[in-house]
Amino acid sequence: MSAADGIDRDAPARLRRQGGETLLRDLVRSFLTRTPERLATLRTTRSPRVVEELAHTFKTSCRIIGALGMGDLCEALELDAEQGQLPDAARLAALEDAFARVHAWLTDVQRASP
Amino acid sequence: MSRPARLLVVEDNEDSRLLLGALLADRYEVALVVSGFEALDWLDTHRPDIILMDASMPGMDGLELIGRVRARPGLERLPIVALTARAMRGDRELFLAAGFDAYLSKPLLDEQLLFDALDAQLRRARNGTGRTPP
Repeated sequence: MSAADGIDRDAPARLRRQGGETLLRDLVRSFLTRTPERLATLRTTRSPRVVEELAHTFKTSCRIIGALGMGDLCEALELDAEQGQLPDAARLAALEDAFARVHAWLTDVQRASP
Repeated sequence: MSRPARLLVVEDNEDSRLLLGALLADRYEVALVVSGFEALDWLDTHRPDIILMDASMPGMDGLELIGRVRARPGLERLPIVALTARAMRGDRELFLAAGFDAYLSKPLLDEQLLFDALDAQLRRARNGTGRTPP
């Protein structure tokens, strides 16, 4: 299931089985739309509470769509925020890099979708 | 044939709601709400056979919500299953001590585990062998 680049390429087939093409399409669209907004909030907020809640729900979205590496980074941000820490710049950069790879992958998934 | 069980799902993450709605709609009569506050409002006028709730939600988390649900007359023994994205040691004991009947980890890679957990709790409730309130 897990892959070296943090992308679970079995996820689209699993989601298609669980809810058909509509579920997969809706989840991919939701992820590609919401992620830039979430990353922007993580970069700009000064509230660890906001980071904790956002990183928690972001983590769930990442793991559903198969972006496991992004999910792990969100979990690290969530745990740091629980201790009152704002996002570490290196971790945010890693999350943005990971999203660039996931974005390219999900765009291919969208193209391949009937 | 008997009616499908009525399931209340409490989940703040939209993607998780989409997934749960798709998974559960063919087997149960599903109501989806986005917060503990909405769940309590819904329970003012409806009676589910079972509740599936996210344990970590902003505003009112699952531990607070289950306390409020269990305090309502007639809901002391209602089957309630927790869904959680946390997989910390000790969480299982924490959730069971808080009154949850079962505990599942997100993401749901194998939907059969979810169906089995829900159906087992529904059977227990029907047979009158549900949990004993503290």
